[in-house]
Amino acid sequence: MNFELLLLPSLAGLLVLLMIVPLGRIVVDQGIVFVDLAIAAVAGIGALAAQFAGYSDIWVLRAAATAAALLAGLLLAWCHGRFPASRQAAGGAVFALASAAGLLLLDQQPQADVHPFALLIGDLLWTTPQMLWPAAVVTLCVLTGLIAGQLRLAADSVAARLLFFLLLALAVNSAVQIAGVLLVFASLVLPALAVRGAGAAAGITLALLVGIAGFAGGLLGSLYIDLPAAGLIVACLGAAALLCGGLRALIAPSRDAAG
Amino acid sequence: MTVSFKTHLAGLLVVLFSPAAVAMNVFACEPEWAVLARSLGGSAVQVVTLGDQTPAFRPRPGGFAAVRATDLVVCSRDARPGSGLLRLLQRSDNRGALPGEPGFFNPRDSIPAGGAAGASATRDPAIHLDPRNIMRVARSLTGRLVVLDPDNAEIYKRGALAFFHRWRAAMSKWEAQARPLRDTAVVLDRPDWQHLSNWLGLRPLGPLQHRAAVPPSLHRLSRLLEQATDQPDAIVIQTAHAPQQASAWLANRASLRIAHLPDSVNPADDEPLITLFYTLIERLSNPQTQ
Repeated sequence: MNFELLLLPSLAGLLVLLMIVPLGRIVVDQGIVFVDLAIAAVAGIGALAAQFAGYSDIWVLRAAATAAALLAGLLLAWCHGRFPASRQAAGGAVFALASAAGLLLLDQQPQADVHPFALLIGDLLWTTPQMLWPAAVVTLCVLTGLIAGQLRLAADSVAARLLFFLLLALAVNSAVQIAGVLLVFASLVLPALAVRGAGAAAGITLALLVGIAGFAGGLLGSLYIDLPAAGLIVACLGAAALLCGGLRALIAPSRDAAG
Repeated sequence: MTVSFKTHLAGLLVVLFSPAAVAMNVFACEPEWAVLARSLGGSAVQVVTLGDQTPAFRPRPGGFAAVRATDLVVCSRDARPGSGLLRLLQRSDNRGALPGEPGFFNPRDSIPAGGAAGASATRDPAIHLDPRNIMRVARSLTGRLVVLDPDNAEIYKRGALAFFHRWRAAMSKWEAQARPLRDTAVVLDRPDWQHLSNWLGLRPLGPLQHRAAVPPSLHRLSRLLEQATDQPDAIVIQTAHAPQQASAWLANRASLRIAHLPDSVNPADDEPLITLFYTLIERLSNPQTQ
């Protein structure tokens, strides 16, 4: 078997997990999992709009996607503070509207070779070394920002909220370009669910281990069995999350119930 | 001046009131059949298409109106229960144009399904990529036009004769041009392009994807990579409307050349069907290095 094929996808997967999993804990605790889909959809509009304006250089498209993602982050941060009761719905609404706008834009541009499936169930297999550098920079930003912001989304602090949503926008935009919406959504939600209620340091370590187990299992599985990597990775993530959650419930049932 | 004006007027009246002016409405799902119907029917047919070439085929309300007003539906895509095409036909409420009726023509029915490659070839919708198939379809489509519109039979027969003449001449040119391509190893990026490689005698190393919408596994990629390293002259075929990441990845890893091929006609061309085959052979003969 060609194990060398696993090198770049594994590195990319590790970067995705490092930037997404710590944010996932906050997203799940706040009950705002749709913001991830919302940001990804708005970032897609950014790239499409740039294509519409006649640009085709990949760096211009990426810059447009990043700018759109950051705008979405600002909008969601404002909604989060302004309409506390409708946080979950706000994410879903932005997702639905942005997806519809993307569909309408795509329709106006039939020559665009954007395959909707490629964006949705992208996988890590096509990673090139040139794609890893920007992702590594974003990962560093997210981790530094989270540590500086003490890994918390303080509901009363506008600055902390803004920092969190901008980091989330950067991370989701960067991760989706490598791994596709499905993998990023699964990485955000499943490990965080498995470690709900655990303390900060232990929780993040455990969640990262769940993520690594899922990605490794899925990539290795796709090398041995003829099945698409993205689907296998998510299945393995789900299995690892179930296993971790189950074990935690066995060891400390009360703590899990509190989460 | 007056004489020429009168002859123009007479000409106009002839065009307006002769039987040929009452055009038969043909609805074609795929642009290649629209072009073929126009070449055969000439002024006696009015051809409409949806302009939607994607396999998912999501017709808009305009599509229902077009099918309702049509005398003949020409579609080679899947018309089985549950398919987008059958839903379109049923919703359009045009009983004469349902599968099995004379008003429904499936070009795939004109292709002989036999031999070892028969089973996969009948499932492969891209029959128009073999010019011998175009010839077969043209023959039976002419027959159907004559049955539905006997008043204009002469027009269809004349159109068909002229088409066959041009097509035979072009085919011998293509086959001469494509002779060096025989036995070239190719990696197809989609599962359903058997007809082109059958005609040109290409040697497919197996498609990158075994289903249209499912991305390839690492297992498949690794196997193709091993095969490709023994065949440095192999060509990776990138088709329109298919994701390009996998084919670009393989070409890059195995240092193979890429041929970017259109999957159907460009209606803006002068003779779209003939241009399509020249383009296919030209691009296959001059693949690009990355």
